[in-house]
Amino acid sequence: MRLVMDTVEEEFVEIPIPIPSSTSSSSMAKRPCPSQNPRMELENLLYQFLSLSDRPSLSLDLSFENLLQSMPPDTDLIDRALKMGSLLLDAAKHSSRKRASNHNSIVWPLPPDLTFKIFSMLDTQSLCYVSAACSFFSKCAKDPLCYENLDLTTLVPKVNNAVVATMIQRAGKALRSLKLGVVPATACSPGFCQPMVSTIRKAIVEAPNFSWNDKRSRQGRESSVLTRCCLSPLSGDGGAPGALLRKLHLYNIERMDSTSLCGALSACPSLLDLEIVGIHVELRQTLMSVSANCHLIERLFFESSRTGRDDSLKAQTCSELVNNCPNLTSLSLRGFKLHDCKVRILVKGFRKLKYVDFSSSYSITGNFLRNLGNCNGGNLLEVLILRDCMHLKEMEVIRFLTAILAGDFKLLMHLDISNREGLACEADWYHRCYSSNNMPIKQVLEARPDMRLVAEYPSEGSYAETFDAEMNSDISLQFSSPTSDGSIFMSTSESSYNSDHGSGNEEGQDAVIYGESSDEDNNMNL
Amino acid sequence: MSKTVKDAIETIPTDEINSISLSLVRSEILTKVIEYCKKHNSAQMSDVDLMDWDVEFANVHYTTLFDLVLSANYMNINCLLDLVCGKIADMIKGKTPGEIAKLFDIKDVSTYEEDN
Repeated sequence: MRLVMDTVEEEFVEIPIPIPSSTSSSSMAKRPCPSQNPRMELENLLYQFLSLSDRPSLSLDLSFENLLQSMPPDTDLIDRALKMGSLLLDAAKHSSRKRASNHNSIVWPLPPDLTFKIFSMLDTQSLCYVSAACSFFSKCAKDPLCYENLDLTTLVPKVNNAVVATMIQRAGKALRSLKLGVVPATACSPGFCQPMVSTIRKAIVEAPNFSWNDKRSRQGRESSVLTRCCLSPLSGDGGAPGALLRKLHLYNIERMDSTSLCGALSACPSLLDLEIVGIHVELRQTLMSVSANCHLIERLFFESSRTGRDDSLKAQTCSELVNNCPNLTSLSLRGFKLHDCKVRILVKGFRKLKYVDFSSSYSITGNFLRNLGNCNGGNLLEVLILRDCMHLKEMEVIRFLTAILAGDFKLLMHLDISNREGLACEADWYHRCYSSNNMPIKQVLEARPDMRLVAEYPSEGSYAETFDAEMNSDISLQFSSPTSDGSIFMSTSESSYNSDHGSGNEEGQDAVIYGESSDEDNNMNL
Repeated sequence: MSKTVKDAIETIPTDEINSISLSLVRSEILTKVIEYCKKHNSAQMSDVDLMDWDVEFANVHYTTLFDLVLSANYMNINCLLDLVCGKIADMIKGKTPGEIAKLFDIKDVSTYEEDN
């Protein structure tokens, strides 16, 4: 505990020299007669000298000059004056700072450990500001505990590698969570349709005082851009910062690539929550890296930067992920090419999986949902989001809803099968089914009143406008997965789908149907 | 709710307790602490209402907040400590260094080096 000092009463000694009436607020009190003590003598002299400042007609320079002229030429009076003047100045400054510091310890009576506690609740920018307010705060703000949860996300590119490195270094092994990158404000509102990547470009360009040209012209000088090595400090210092990192969220870091991301993941064996949005990395490589390094992972949220153009995922990657990361409870893969067979490996394989979101993914037809409810991996599902999956078939959805009515998926609380372009009809995905009349939605809602079922489709012929209106007026899309910190998930439903995405070949790849399917399934042809 | 009080009660045999010494807590602050503990133990209010009540409770001058922090720390009441520390943190958020210094009447000690 820090001692709170009482205000120190200044003690002055009276000397027999007439002093003109003082106009200063701190009046010089009476001092007793000086003793033979040399220290007291010095203090008296000092006092006498300082009381000269009250004289209205003081001209120290003139008096000094006169004195100098009365001395022999080889006098060192000037040097002495310089030395004593300097000593006095330093002493006065030091005492002033000391008193200010004491004052501060009175107005801020909290000991360091409680100050850390408050500072650890500050966002990173406020932490920097508070450390600039005074030296005590500056010291407290350097404590690793304040840097446990680093949130360095910004609306426009503002944080550079040096900032990240400094913060990570200050956190050291206390680092538990790191959020980095560019997150535009508009993306956080519920019901927001646009994918984050294009919104960010728009937000950046429209931000005041920002110019892409500025960034380029400042190459070599300090720039506000994160480069591909921005996460290398996690591996620094023997890997201490990354070792206990639990949460890593990365948003729209333009220059990050697969190699650098995988390098960062290799430094984070304790990772529980990984969120990657809008980063130009390959799904397969990233999942392989997670498989290899982050065995404790519980939540994986992956949103593609190139909606619909990443088709790297292989079945083997899925199997490895399932085997190496058994604790996964929340899986979101948005905007990727996902085949039913591979997705099935994932959904069946993760024994603890509760939250699934494959929004904006293409190629999956919903086939993977068959016979899932009554075996391991499927019956624990609480949330299933298949929003704007272009190839999601109405027929598969009907099947799924029928399974729910039959009693499967008992724990399912939230199901979202909305699609801004309707669901795919059976024979040809290009034909869309817009109405939910064929689907037993009402029955499901009656049978399962605890469940939230979101099935928004535009009326035939009208696309984005109606959908937007529905989004804004209807149920909000806010949902938190069990292990997240309540961040809002928005759907990325911009359809950049071209008609060539749904070719016959892709449909054919979904024809593999797994073991415990019934005879009925074997007879189904896709 | 107060771990200090709880520990005191648990370590001293019940029939010997007449008073538990809380010498570092001023009476008006203790009143507020007791008010907080009563409210949170009553379980009559919904969580949302309780949160609103907490906000109202913490809406005091920062010197009172400091006293509450020290008292909650001394009496080891974690939820109150978190509430009040959070409130002080909220007061700091979004302010420039100059504004923070002004708010808490902190003098700039920019080049002070710790002697002790």
